[in-house]
Amino acid sequence: MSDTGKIFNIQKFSTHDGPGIRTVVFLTGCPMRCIWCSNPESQERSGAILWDERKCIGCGLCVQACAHGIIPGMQGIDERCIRCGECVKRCPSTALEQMGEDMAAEKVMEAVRKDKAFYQESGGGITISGGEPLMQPEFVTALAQEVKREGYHLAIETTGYADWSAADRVFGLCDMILYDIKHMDSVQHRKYTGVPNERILENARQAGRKGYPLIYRVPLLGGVNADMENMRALGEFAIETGVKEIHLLPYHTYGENKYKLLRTRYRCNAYRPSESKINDIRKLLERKGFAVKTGG
Amino acid sequence: MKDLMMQCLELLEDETQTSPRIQKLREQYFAVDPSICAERGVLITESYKETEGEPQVLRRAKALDKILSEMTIYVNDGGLLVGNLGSVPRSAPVFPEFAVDWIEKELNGDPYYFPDRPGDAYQIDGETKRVLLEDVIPYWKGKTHEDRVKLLLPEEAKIACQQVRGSDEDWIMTGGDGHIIADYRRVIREGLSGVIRQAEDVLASLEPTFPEDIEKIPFLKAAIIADKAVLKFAARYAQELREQMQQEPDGRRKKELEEMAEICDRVPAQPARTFQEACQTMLFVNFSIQIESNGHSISFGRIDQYLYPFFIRDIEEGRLDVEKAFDIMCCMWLKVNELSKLRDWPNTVTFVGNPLFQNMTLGGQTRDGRDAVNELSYMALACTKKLKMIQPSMTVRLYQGTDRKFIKEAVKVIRRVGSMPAFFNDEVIIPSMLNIGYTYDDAVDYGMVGCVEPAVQGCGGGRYGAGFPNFAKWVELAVNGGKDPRTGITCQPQEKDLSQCETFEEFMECFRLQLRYFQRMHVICGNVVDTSWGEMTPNPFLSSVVEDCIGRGKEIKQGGAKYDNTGGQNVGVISAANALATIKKVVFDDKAVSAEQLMHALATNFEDMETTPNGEVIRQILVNADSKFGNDNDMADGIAADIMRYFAEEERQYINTRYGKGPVGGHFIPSTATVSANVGNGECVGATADGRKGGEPITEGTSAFRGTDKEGPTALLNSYAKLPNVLMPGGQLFNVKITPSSVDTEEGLDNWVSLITTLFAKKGMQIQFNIVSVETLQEAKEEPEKYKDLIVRVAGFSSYFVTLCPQVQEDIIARTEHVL
Repeated sequence: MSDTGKIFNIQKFSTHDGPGIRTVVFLTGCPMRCIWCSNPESQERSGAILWDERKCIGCGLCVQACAHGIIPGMQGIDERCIRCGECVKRCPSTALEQMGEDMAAEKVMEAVRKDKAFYQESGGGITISGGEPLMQPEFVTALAQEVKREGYHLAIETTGYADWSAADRVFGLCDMILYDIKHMDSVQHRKYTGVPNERILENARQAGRKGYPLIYRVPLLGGVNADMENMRALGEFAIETGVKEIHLLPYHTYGENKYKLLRTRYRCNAYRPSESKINDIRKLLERKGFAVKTGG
Repeated sequence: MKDLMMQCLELLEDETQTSPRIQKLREQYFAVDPSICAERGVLITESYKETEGEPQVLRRAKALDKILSEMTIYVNDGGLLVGNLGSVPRSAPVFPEFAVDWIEKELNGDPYYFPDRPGDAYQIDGETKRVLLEDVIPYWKGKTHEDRVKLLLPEEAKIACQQVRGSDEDWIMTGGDGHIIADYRRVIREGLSGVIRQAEDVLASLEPTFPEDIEKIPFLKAAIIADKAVLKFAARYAQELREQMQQEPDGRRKKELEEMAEICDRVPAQPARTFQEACQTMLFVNFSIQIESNGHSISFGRIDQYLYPFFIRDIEEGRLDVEKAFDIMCCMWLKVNELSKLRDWPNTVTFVGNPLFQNMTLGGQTRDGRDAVNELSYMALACTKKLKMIQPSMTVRLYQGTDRKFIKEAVKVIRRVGSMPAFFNDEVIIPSMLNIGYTYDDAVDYGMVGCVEPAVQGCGGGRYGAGFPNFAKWVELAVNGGKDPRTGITCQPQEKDLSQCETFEEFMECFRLQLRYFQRMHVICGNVVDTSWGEMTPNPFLSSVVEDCIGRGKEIKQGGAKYDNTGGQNVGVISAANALATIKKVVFDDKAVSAEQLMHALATNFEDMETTPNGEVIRQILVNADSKFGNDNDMADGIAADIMRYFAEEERQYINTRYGKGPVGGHFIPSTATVSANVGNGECVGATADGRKGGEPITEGTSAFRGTDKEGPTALLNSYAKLPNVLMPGGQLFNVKITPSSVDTEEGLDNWVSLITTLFAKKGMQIQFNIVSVETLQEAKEEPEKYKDLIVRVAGFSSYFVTLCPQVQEDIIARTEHVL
């Protein structure tokens, strides 16, 4: 098992997840349920089936393919659905899409190698993301080892919500760790993400002590975490953990359509902070000596 | 004094504006609409009536003399350079010697009156219309290039090209050639008086007992007449400038006019001494070729190289500063934009946006292997960046030693202008030229003509724009056993249709059979047209400024140039590859759809909903099959590479009309310089096996079919890099569209540069970009008035979006947009 992971996307030419031109490998499964999540199809470890009404031509081939005759729009929702993917295979118009494919590390590497020349030229590499990649610790370790063995720059995007031993093993292989800090207050953290933040902060302290290359990434959501108090606390925590760089990701709703494809409701009522607010936060952190990047 | 390079780099900065002079000239340009000018048509008609019975080449020279002596000339208010084609800015001259039937038809509203065209409309006044219909057209009936082509063309080729449309050869039948870089360097260095002297010497040295030498006499005499006509043209401007000077109240402008008059006294007769004289020489040579030949893609070559010595000397000796040099260069750009070419309606669709493809080439390497980028290269980029106009087409050559800073400045120009410059890879183009016999010194000094066609400077007589072999059509014919579903005609019968082929390889053999047949038809058309051009419309002036026509005493079409090859512009190559790869995958490998089902679905344009699976389901299976070029899919890319290689290798066996008459080469060479022919040529191709519906555009160049490159730009570039680019010495065209928001940061720019350099390290030949968002294009389509200067890359050239016809606008909107 350790060599096979569940992948929901391999995104080439990604330019916002670490330096240069990169390939991002997205893994399924996340312990958190952030209300603003822009990759909701990645949350379940077993993957998801998306249905795009606009692409559906109503041919009925999916119904024929399904042992239970589940109708379009109900795949993945109907409780008889076991996500076997037979309907997806038969769909001619790609209205149905299965997220989450079992892939061996070597197969991922095959895809990754294709853009080798672009990484070299641009100072890019590979980013492992999710979901929460540390939910598949053996696979991620195996993949990370392979990436390093072939000499590529490796970054990971993580929520930090994982067993320290697994995190430690993977972080030790990474050239860059993009570490999410969603809220400094544990109660608020739990309210918006479903889990408290103690473990996340503790793992960050551990990582800081070991000198791992951490960068904090903070989604900026108006009404949730984009207040000065939270940002000051973040700054202090970053100093405590020896982090020098912070990325601010102002809230966007690009993920909203995916909820429609999953046929679930988008419940996030946060808003994008004003440009002046974003600037204020940026200046606050820069005054404390951090390198700050906005957007991505 | 500030460092010269610093000053030139400052021109590229966002805050820098052009001078009030240039801004005013630019406004004047946009204030007028293109129009038709009958003068040239009238003058050539009068001249031809006077010279009946004389050798054709002499008649042409005398006609040029009459035109240049009598046509209206003007000086732009505030302009620093002179030259014009029509009697007012943006007016197009008429070339009745090439074809008149279409002019007559369109003057009578068939299919549109000129001012009512849905794209590239031309204003025309009642008197112009009357003169053309009464004084010009009647004389030329039955005597034109087109009439001669019709006479010479075998019936079989007519059916294959004009009815079945397996290769579209129309434009070369109604227009002139062009596609050349004249020897500007020589004229700048020696003046036309040097050329005339050489012609006189050769003439004097002929041995009239040799029949071959007798044939040279009319050409050499014609060249002398034509060159002297150009000198008269310049003298007329000198006179006009002096007259304006008398009237001019402003002392500064008065002095400028006087200087310009003195320049026109001197050049192009004598060697240029200053930067401004050299620029003026280029325009006189270029415009005279345009007036003579009715071609397009009459290009300038490596201006940053051959103008540089004049620039640097003027600067060093204090005659010129960067500000003035920038003004002169901007004036050259504006002058080049003022030209207009009238094409018949079907060819307007092919060359939409009224492009003249006056390419200028920057950068690359010197003959001794150094980075050729200099201060003028940056200044030329700045002209394009600040003026935001469609001409000149701009080429940036890259080699492995090109400074990354230069590439970055060039992509910043694209970000601003939306589409120019395009990038070309020395590491592929130079070997491709060496392969077909160019010397290293000439190959390394290449410049671009037209869209993407590499050419030697001043010594090549090659013709690149020889028709459009239509690969997508051949797949359609191969599927149907050779029979064209649209016309019912079978040009090249096959033993089997798709349903009778047992293996994919067997079907590929059918495709290759069609390819060979239509390639042959294409060559026939090309050579017939060349034969007619040689007889009917020789170009003595152009020939006099191309090495070694004078030395050999031969006009270009008789074999005067040092090098000479002919190339077609393949269209729909990727559409064909996608269709073939999809047939392989869906019919032969996966067996998801049978050949019979596929053939029925194609024949019914996927509209038969009674079959199982129905037409639309089949189309979806085809569209979504993993079998499209542009996704780094080895199977699909391999088929694209295979058909391109096959065509290129077959093409070598064909010779053009100059073979064995002196020039190196004399062969057919392929390119994918499609212009917008993918739209018109798509109209006659029915539904194809890649899921494209009948009549829709096919692919241009080697670009992916719209919407099918789903894996992002790196995958697209990887696909393209697998093509046998070095076998395409006629040039490759590769278009990528990216969103503006993705290149608004420094990182975005750096990644963009890396995309280009990586592609070129992987032996990609060319790449160009369209950097305008879908929303902007849609807004421009709805409110054209607000977007008059919005430029897009159509194919190998740029056009004002609002001047394009609706089908082409839609095609551009539909091409995949990549987020960087």
